[in-house]
Amino acid sequence: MKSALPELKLIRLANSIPEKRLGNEHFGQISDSAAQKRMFQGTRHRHHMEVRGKAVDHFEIAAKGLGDLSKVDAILTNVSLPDEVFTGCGAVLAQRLKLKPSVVVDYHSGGCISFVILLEYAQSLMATHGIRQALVCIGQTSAGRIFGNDKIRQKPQSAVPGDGFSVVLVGQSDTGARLEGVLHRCHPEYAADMVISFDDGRKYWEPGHEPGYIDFPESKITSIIMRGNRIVPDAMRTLRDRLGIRNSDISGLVTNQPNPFFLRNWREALELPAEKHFDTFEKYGNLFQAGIPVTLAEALEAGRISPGNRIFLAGFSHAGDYSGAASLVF
Amino acid sequence: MNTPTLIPDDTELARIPGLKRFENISKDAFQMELMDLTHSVYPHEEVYGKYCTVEEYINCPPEQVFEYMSQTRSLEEWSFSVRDLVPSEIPDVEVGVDRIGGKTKIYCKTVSNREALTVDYHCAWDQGRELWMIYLNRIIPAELVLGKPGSVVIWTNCRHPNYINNPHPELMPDRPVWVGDFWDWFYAGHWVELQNLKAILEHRHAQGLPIGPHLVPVTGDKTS
Repeated sequence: MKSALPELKLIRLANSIPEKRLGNEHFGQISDSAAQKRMFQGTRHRHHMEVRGKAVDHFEIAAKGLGDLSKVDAILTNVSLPDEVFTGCGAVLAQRLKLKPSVVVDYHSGGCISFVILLEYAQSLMATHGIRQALVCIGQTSAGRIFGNDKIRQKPQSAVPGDGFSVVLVGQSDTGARLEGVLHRCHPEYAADMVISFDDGRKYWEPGHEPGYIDFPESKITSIIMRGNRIVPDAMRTLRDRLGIRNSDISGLVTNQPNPFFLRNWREALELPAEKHFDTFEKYGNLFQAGIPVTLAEALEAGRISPGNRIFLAGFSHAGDYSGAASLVF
Repeated sequence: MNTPTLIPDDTELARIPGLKRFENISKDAFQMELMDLTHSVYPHEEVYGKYCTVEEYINCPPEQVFEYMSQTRSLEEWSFSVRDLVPSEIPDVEVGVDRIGGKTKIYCKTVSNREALTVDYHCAWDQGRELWMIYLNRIIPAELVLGKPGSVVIWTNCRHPNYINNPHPELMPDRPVWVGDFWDWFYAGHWVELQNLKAILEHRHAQGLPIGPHLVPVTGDKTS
């Protein structure tokens, strides 16, 4: 069935990284739980968007760096903390870029692996809606909007998130990297383990004064880490086996980047050396969903990917509710 | 007379480098160490390079498992290739053929402890004076550790230097392989043999048969 899908090329990528760069000293280093430290530590810098800034501003900047957009019929977005509560920003971006897409999807799940999932959807839309090219827009906004808050930044998990944005032009093209295979999985049993907490106990739609933050129950941290150790290698190996290739056929890896231990464990699972596992963790921190496209764009820009290279993308989201992997041949 | 309360000498222990105890390392630091040691995958060599342990649950009472394993000749049933065991000229040591090594002679002395439920096979290829290939087995009542009837068998081998260098190559100079050449297959090979042990014991226990080994008279020509 997959082979019947039209060929999708990853044509060009462009990033927009917020200007505000923060060092570790900006954050409190307090933790009662070493497991939490392990999950959230390890970065040197991260960038924060302005609290009142918008994801769509960054998407517009990035998209304008992509050149000809005249064949774009679809806009797919995923933003961690959306610009508006009800509406996504796909249509706003179309307005800014003066595009008339026939399909706009503001996708609200998939988290750190949403880029892989949206590549899969874009390919499906090529088959079902005759889409020629699509903009896949991935934004991480929660660092500036949540973790930079004066009350929140002293929490142990606040130091690692960073903001970043990437817009990727995909679809029909004579040039670009071919999407060779892609899969994603939903793990409903892990779906309720990451929450937005408010110290006054309110829900986000209820009025109040306390800022919210992303929270993982302490009793689940070890279990979440072990999920990441299991479901990401499992997704990568399933795709590898489906493609009928071996670890040695994989030239490089880009994953989401929650912490250095996941990075180490995931590349070990593919028997890749550290220099073949591209990451931007030290300078950007945990970019959540933007981690994969931002890092991929930087690796390409730096000339670390050569024609003929097969690059795997992989990761998992939130507390393990989605995992996925994709293979690109450059 | 009052018995004094005795506690560990933390002062003395503190002088031993490298100890990680609640007294000298925080729970946080200890947990961080554990995270670092926890990977997604482990190289085979790292897990089975120096020691090789296989373990399995067997639905058969521990006393019967012990009875069976403590008889050296049971190996002719559940091992892949140890056959034709007979008493050797050395007391308590039997000699047979390990077919995996062609016509290689294998010497074996079973050292067991009924109270501890341990059964150790002290073996060697080619000679029976220095039995350095030691198969350590511990049988544990499953009732204690798994809360159900039956047994757990834990079987460990340690990589003696003789696995790497045959101490007596002169005893079988034409043989193309040495037992140590198979070390990297020990996990797989021993796991398969443990499945043999499980299948035999579970079959006989379920059928109410004598636990064995079931040895029958030789009929017709039997050549090794």
